Amino acid sequence: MSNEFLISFIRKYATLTSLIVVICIFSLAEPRFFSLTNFFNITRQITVLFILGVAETYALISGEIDLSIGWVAGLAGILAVGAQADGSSTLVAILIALTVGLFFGLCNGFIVTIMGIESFIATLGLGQIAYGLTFLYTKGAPVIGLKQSFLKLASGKIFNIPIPLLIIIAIFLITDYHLRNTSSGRFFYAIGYNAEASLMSGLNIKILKILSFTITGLLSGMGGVLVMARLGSGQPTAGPGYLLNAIAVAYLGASVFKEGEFHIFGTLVGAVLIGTIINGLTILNVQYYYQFIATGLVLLIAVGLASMGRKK
Amino acid sequence: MSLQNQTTTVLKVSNISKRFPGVQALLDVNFSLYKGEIHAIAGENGAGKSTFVKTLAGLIKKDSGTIMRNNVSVKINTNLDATKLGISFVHQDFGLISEMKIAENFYLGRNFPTKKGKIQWHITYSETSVWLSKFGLSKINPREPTSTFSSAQAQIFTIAKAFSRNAEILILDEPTASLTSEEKDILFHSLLHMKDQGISIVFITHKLEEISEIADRVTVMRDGKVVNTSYVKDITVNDIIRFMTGKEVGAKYPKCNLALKDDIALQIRHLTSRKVKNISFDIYKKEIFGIIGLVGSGRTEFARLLCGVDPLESGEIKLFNKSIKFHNIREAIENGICLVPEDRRIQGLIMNFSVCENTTLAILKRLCYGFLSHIDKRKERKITQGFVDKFSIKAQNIDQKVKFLSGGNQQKVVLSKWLSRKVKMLVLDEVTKGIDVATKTEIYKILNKLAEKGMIIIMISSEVPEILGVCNRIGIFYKRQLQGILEAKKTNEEEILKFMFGRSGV
Repeated sequence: MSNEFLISFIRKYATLTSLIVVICIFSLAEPRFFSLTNFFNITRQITVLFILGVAETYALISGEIDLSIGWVAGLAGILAVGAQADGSSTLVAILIALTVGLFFGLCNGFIVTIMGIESFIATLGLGQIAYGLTFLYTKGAPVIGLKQSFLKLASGKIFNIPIPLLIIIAIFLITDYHLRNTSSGRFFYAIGYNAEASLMSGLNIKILKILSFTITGLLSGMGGVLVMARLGSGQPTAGPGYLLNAIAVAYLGASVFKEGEFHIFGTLVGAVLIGTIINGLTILNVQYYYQFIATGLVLLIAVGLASMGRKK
Repeated sequence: MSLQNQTTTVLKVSNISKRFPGVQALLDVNFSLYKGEIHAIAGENGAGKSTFVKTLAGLIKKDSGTIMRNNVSVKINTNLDATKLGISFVHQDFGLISEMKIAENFYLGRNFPTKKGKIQWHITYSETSVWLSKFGLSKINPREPTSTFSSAQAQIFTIAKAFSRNAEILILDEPTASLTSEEKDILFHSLLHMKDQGISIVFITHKLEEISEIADRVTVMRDGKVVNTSYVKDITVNDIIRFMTGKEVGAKYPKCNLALKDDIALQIRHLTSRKVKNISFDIYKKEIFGIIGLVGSGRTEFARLLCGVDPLESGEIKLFNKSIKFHNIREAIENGICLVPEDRRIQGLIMNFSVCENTTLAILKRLCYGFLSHIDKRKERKITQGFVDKFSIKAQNIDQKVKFLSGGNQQKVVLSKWLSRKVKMLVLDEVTKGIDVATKTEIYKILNKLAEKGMIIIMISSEVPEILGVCNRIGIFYKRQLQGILEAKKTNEEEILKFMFGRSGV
């Protein structure tokens, strides 16, 4: 009995516990780690990861996968930087990025639902196109000319609170509310769990899938803006690197509380966990390459613990 | 039913117990199996039948108790242990790889390699053919993929495969659940054949008439305990039901409503699609209309057509004197036509959703308010609780996921999902499949009440007694056409079967 209790406890809280353990280890090893300044540092570092993680979470909830988010974020970000370099205001630049993300999300949705191509392939293809367009536009060179107001998205503060933290909170509140409290949010889960039963219950699966891909695209566009703001210039290769970590973050999130169920709080925990590890290792002056090994191990351990005892 | 070997006990189980979190699934189960007998296990959903046979097959680890195989104490901790002891468990979904050829599936992992490791395909194919013909599947080509099998063929194939691996004890978990009556006959024939060879067979069933048809002994389980084991010849179906429920049996089928013959509720004229041809009939107010037919006769296809799942080519549907048209499921639902589909786990419910989330799935948009379309959770819970009380749905609470409910309760949730809307016509496809006797009767009563209140009820079933007991009139499908309509009171099983096999002329 106590054994069963232990297993169910581990399955529920493994990811949260590992986060706490990681924080404790780093705090003991390096006093500078556990400070408000460093906390703000971490939020700055995980903003993009969290937003793209949320983007991927939407796709995964609806029973699909979106491999294009990193490339779409890159293209959207670079076009925003380009627009600003050509004299656009920051607001217009952001709107351009969001539109690009939205457009690619819509295209993904149409290709998957209307043409019936599997999302794995559809988004891989469209992502490659986005990457190609990024290089066509930049000719491979960084784009410069960002204004202060654009850069402030990553480094500014409002009432002494970093803007990235405010963005994280806003995105968290909106998407969490949407997925838990609105009909379309619940329908996304429904079609992801069982498309056939959803269809038989009268849900319009195609529209819902397109909507979900569009939200993913929109969030990718937003992620693109913040990547470039953080880097200070338009880097054509900045986006794609986020894809795998975004997927990892979403899956880490699915191991929080309920096994195999994607949700926004979980994605947030996942992003914080990975962000904390990278930050801590950097502070401890651990060689950069170990970060990959550490994040890989954490992903395997957390998801492994959460699925422990499943098949017995 | 000769029992020449009845004295040899091949398997003896003593005091097996198993606890799952929160439930005592098995408590001190005692069970014995004779050589060459067919031993049925009956019980309501959740009685522990599946858990019990799975412990025998090593798929579930028991907490305590002993198992004796041929009077030797044995340990069965894994499925491999069971296989080595000659115990073979046939999965409900047969465990076949549908893309692979029949012979490859048959000899999976053991196909006649040469010394160098190359598979000798000609032997594999010919050996498979020999085995198949022993089990009455001689027409099957072992080079075809297993996806060409019907359910019965897959079932028999799996049994043949187990037999070819020297199984001496065969365990079947509801083998007839998805079979038509003729497929069932083929299966039973091969079971009797195996029995004659001295194989012992344990099989779980929900269909009590099958027990007297084929089993030598029956063990009834209730709440994780064995209530009774006796020879089938010494026990009646009513006894079995009493043991299963612990209660005296009432009438299995409720009394039918009187149909109002002057009042036509539904008119169907020349309905045609790719799957059915020229169907025309009327349904009167307050009656329950049954539809029966063999697999492939078009009964399920007709239901899908009527509910907008498959497209209509021509024909007219008049609902309460109003001609209606729809092009997809959504429009059919908007017109008040709802389908309780054949497979509740795949088509009817979202297993990972709670009772509440499933119940309100079809009305969720109406429960939302405000600019942000916020779900009114209080209203949602109130509606669900109403159905849980009304249909006495057994769940821990309305937030429990439906995958943890028994089949009968799941089906009640599917009904709740539709009845939360204004339904004019409810089409039910095999609504009581795999559901225990007591819940079946409850569902019949619900349907009766709905019909009484004026809802058109069309019930599709492959079980003749059920359709005779529940429906006022019965439409029989044969080769994609309506072969005839019979009044339940004026007909009998035999006549219905004749129609089902295409012999309409009396």
